[in-house]
Amino acid sequence: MLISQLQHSGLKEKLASTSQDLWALLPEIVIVSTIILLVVFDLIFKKNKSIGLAAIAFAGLAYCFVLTIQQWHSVESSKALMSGLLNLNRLSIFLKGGFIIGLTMALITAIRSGDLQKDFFKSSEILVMLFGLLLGASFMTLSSNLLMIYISIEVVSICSYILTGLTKGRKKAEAAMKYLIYGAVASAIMLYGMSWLYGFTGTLNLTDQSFAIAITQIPQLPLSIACVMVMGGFLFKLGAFPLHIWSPDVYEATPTPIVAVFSVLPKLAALVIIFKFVNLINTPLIDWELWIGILAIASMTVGNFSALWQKDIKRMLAYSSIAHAGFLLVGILAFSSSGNQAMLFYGSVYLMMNFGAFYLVQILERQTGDTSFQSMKGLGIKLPLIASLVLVVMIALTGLPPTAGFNGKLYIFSALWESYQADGHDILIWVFVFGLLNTVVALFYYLKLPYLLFFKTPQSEISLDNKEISDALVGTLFVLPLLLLFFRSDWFVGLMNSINFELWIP
Amino acid sequence: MPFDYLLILGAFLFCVGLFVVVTRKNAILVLIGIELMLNAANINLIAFSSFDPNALQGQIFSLFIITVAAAEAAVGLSIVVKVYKHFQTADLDKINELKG
Repeated sequence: MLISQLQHSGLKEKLASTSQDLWALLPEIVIVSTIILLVVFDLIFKKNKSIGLAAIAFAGLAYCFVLTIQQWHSVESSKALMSGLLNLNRLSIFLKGGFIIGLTMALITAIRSGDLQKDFFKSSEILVMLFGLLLGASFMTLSSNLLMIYISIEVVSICSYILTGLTKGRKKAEAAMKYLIYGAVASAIMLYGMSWLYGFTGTLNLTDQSFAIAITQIPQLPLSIACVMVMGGFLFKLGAFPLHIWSPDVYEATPTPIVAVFSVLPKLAALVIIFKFVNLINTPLIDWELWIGILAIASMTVGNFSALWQKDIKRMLAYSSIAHAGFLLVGILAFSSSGNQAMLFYGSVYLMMNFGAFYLVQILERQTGDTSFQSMKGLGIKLPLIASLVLVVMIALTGLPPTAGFNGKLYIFSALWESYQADGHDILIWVFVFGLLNTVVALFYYLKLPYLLFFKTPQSEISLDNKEISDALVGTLFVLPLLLLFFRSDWFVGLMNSINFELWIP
Repeated sequence: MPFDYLLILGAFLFCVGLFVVVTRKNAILVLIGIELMLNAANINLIAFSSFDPNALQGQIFSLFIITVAAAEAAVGLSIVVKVYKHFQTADLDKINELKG
């Protein structure tokens, strides 16, 4: 419902519709109640809190997941909530489900992390911040209003700054400082751009009719400046070129389970926001194909080439996530329903690949104490199961068969090719060429880790703890979907087909 | 006051803020620069809000910005304290150990 229409209806109806809409936000309400429960539990009990805190966290996640599945079945098309502040559709519900699975995987990683486990579940601080991040990310997928977009991005950002600097360490403090300054500047620039957009259109609601009409009547230069500024804030959260500089430092310093969350949740949520923004500012004055195309090419190339000479695995994965941000942008670039589906497929595969990769890195880190490539030499002989799982995940990240990473890249580039055939814009073919070349480059650095694990002899004697079987069992659970989706990707594609990407609310 | 002046004031504040962020080396001064940029957006939003007399969305937005900026400043300053504990300085050029 439009805000202007609501003006004339009475307060009573407004309150009635708002309280009606609260039912659609039940998963978010469960997240908030979990946060409150965690804090209260932390206050009441003095000792041995870890089991209780973990139980509350997992119960909250499970309940939230069940509610999300119920919501999936009850929502067919887009639905405006809270007088148009939020826009509930299957796309956001799907991603919310993915985020919940991802956070669960991160918590499992934390449990299996040895020393770090004590930090993680000692008090409720880290868990509360992680749930706050989940809350912000799910609101990011829901919002269709500039105010809501800003608030949800800030919720995610502030939780991320705190998570980076929360545990003790010199490097962590430095990374948090850098993250905060880059992030705050990016969001300030985004806000200034948003204030211009508000001035041009007189509304903050991106799905409003008056917004769509007003946006076509603005001269090119001011509109372009405003859009560049707003996109700056989104690209920062996506971690794409040119606002990617923070991510290697933050990834290197932050504890691994938290990095896994950073590398997926804000990224996919920002992707949805960019998708909405680009599709709703639909005017011939802005050549989105050219802009997004250049960003995608630059992200892929910068990410992949910088990853080649990294000495730390987490840093390498940071650059890899920059490159993947480029591939995800290609899905938006296609501007077709098959492109949107490919983007979502790639996003879900990316979620599984990254949580799998960071889980395995955490296991290796527990054995050696750090994450440099140097210390990984020869571990594969002692930990054959873990090392072969690493190999599978790295093949998936490169995008080769027999893993779902291959399907993701295949879908995304075939959608791009279709769009090229349809409209013949030159930039599309360039993105295509650069994408394929980059996949070849990616092969070199992704396979470095399995190579070091299997074919090098260890420099010094490492004492291992005998937990490999259980580690590998959990790892298999994380990695199996990647293989399964390669052979039976039609399961997933069926799910995608039932998602309506239409952003306008009838 | 003419409407243009408000927008020029906003643009001026934004440029000063960005200049402070780019040139200053002290972390606290950088945070002050960020506050200036946020307030530039506030002024713009409130100015544009006069064209939107029914909903006043711009004014509501600026209230939210003020609140979030306070939270961000609190987190920022606490991180500065933490950095100072480890590095004994708040100079951003000297806080540069993560490289590669």
